[in-house]
Amino acid sequence: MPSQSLTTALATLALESAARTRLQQLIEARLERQDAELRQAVEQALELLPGLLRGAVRRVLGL
Amino acid sequence: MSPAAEVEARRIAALLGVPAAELSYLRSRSASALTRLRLAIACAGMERHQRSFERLARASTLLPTTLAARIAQEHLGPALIAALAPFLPPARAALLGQRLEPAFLAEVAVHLVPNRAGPLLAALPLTLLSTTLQQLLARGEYAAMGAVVEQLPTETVTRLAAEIADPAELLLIAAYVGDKRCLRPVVDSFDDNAILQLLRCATEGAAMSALIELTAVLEAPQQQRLRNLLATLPEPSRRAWVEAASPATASA
Repeated sequence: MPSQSLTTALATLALESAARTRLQQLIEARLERQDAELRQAVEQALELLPGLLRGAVRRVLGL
Repeated sequence: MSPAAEVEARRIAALLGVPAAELSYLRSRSASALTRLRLAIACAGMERHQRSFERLARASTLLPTTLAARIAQEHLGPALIAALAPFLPPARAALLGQRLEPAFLAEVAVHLVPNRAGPLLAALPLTLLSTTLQQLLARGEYAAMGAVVEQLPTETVTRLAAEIADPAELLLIAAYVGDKRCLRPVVDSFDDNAILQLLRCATEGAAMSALIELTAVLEAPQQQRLRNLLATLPEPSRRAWVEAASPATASA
């Protein structure tokens, strides 16, 4: 788990071991997925931009 | 299971991309514990993808606000915007916020991580906060409202509180405020009639514990004022207060 606040929040719930492990797996998968979702949303958004602006935004985004 | 816990469990399931039924065991936990978990997940995402959010925030400044607002609503969605917003220059975020639909803005507010959003919230104009407040009140999002109170300037909190006519809603929001000492100026801003309404409402059962916790952190003159007003209420109300407050505020 990546952050102390997340570890603490999970501990506060006092879940059974299996439920806690499963929830941790789901959270980890969510965090892994978020970057891909962000990239996909950005790619869709870039389609809306005219060419020059799209190029400038791509450069700032490091794409 | 409280309705608030049910809502939070559903939000966590949606955030994690699983059916609500898969996390049904969460519904028996307290709403506040579930809210903490949801915000901790959001915060962890912000930390892990900080570089992406920083770049996206820089890129957004290249766009006209109307276009940026359209992209925010149509492509990024409220959860991503809530994660991105703290990385935007606050003045830019305020301009963008004014271009967003109020309902969308309310969704963003629900997903905001309060302790990352202080400068952003301080930069938002009162009219925008007021519009969002009305949306959140209509949805019963008391946790979302209470969670950001500490991050707002005192004068803003006082002015927004004055817009909430229902004392029960004020108490429900106060229940979610972490450090209730930030509500001292709000108590001072209320006239005696407003305080009496809060006391009546609490003694009739609406979020009594919130008012008791608040009373415990008030300054001595404020506590005296509440005692004086409480003394004007009918005996059953006074008894209800004393029974609920003991021992926390028996001395208040």
